[in-house]
Amino acid sequence: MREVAVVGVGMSPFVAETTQSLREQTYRAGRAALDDAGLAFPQVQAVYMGYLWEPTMTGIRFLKELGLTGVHAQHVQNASATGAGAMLEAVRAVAGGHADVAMAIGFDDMNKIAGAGLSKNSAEGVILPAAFFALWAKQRQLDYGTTSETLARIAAKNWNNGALNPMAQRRPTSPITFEQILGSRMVADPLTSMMSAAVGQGAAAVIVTTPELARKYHPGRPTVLVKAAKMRTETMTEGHVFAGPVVGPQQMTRDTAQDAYEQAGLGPEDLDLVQVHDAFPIEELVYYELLGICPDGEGDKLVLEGATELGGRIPFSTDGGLIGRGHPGGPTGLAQIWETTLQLRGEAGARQVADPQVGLCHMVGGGSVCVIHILQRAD
Amino acid sequence: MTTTDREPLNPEQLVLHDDGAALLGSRCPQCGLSYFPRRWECAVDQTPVEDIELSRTGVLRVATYVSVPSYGKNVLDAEGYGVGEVDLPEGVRVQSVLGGEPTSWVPGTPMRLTVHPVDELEDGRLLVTHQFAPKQG
Ligand SMILES: [Zn+2]
Repeated sequence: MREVAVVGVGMSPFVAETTQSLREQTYRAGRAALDDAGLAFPQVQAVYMGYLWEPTMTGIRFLKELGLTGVHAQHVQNASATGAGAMLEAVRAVAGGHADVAMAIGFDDMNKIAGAGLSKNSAEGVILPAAFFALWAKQRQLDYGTTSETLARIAAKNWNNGALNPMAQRRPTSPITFEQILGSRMVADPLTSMMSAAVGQGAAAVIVTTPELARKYHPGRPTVLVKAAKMRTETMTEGHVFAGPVVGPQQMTRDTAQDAYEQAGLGPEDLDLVQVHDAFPIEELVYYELLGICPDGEGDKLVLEGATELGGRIPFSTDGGLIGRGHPGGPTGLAQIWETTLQLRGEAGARQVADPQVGLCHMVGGGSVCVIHILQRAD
Repeated sequence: MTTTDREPLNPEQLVLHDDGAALLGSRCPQCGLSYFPRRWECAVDQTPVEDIELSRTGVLRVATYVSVPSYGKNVLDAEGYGVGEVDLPEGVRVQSVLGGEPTSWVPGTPMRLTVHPVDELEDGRLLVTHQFAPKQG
């Protein structure tokens, strides 16, 4: 297996709505990643395109806007983890020697989820993500006494991180307080509307290559190595739910993280920043523990200490996460790579973490799957 | 209401008897694990499984009250609805819409399988799906 580096990242802003077509947003994200990489599209030897809510063939059609080069191109689909899955395939293409330069590109409009073929009756028995994660929150209250205030503090943090990210969907002009989060409309007890992921559209792209080529294209810029790219599906657990769950057992994240730490030769103590699938703050809270940042049951303490805020010991969702930056679907996991790459290069502007060396990106996707990447700066 | 008035929305998961509804599951003869919904092989040891009807009662593990419409619906039928997880004696955990009063959805509460209508067929019969409600008495 060859070493792999991120050489280019690009995004089109995540927004609630826009007059710009998804085709144009996708083109602009791909163009931005190529420009950031200092590469021309004919140098890209493999493309992995992720989306959920557009018709079949859409990715290949959009790709024509970057050029007709005959390039190897595949659609990748894995629910919320679609973009992360596209990234993982691009990394594997380079690691396996099948391509020297590979692109992962994702686009979507989550507002189209309602038209995704769920009729009134076929949807019966399928519970909403909000209801599903509300059950996680209720269970957590029983197990550890987690309060709504803790959940609201995580959501407020991510809203306020989003304010510092020009690509974020939610960019509040004044600081959001946990009281505002608590006071917003109840969706599924104890989760409120301001605790929910921002639903919108956008596009993101990442280009990976070998560290040698990355240094050749960008001498003097810190190289961002992909130290781990791992994915898992579910394993059997006690009380395993087969019908209806949005994602599977929490153990899936713990196991995937273990795989990723092993591959990277790093541990949770080495991480300087983390992006997770924070569709709701209860997720971020349990991922603190499942990723090994703290012992089980002590995640609430991290929140109250401010450890996961920008400037804290281990900042989470530095770009706003799904709550602040947004969650269109296909591009979401690639936005995490965009953020982590900028942070490791020291190019994250107002939300820059102090001198980070290692960042982890985590996504889960319904069905379900977990994808984790660990990126490390190498000067 | 008799079984002839109603039709299960998903006959692969739910059967309607004269004395009540039951969920259709599977049991592995090798390791004893039970499953809902039905499957062909055990997920752990790949042994062919046997069809069973699951217990009609269980215990509420956790519950929430949802204030937004479910998939495929643009409006709420009522103010909101309950969703929870019920543990059956076979070791099977089922996610389900909840019936009864929201104040009764306390973890540990004994629950009984019931059905609720989701649609009406052209001949007037009701299409029903499963839910759990607190067991009376
Ligand atoms: Zn078995």
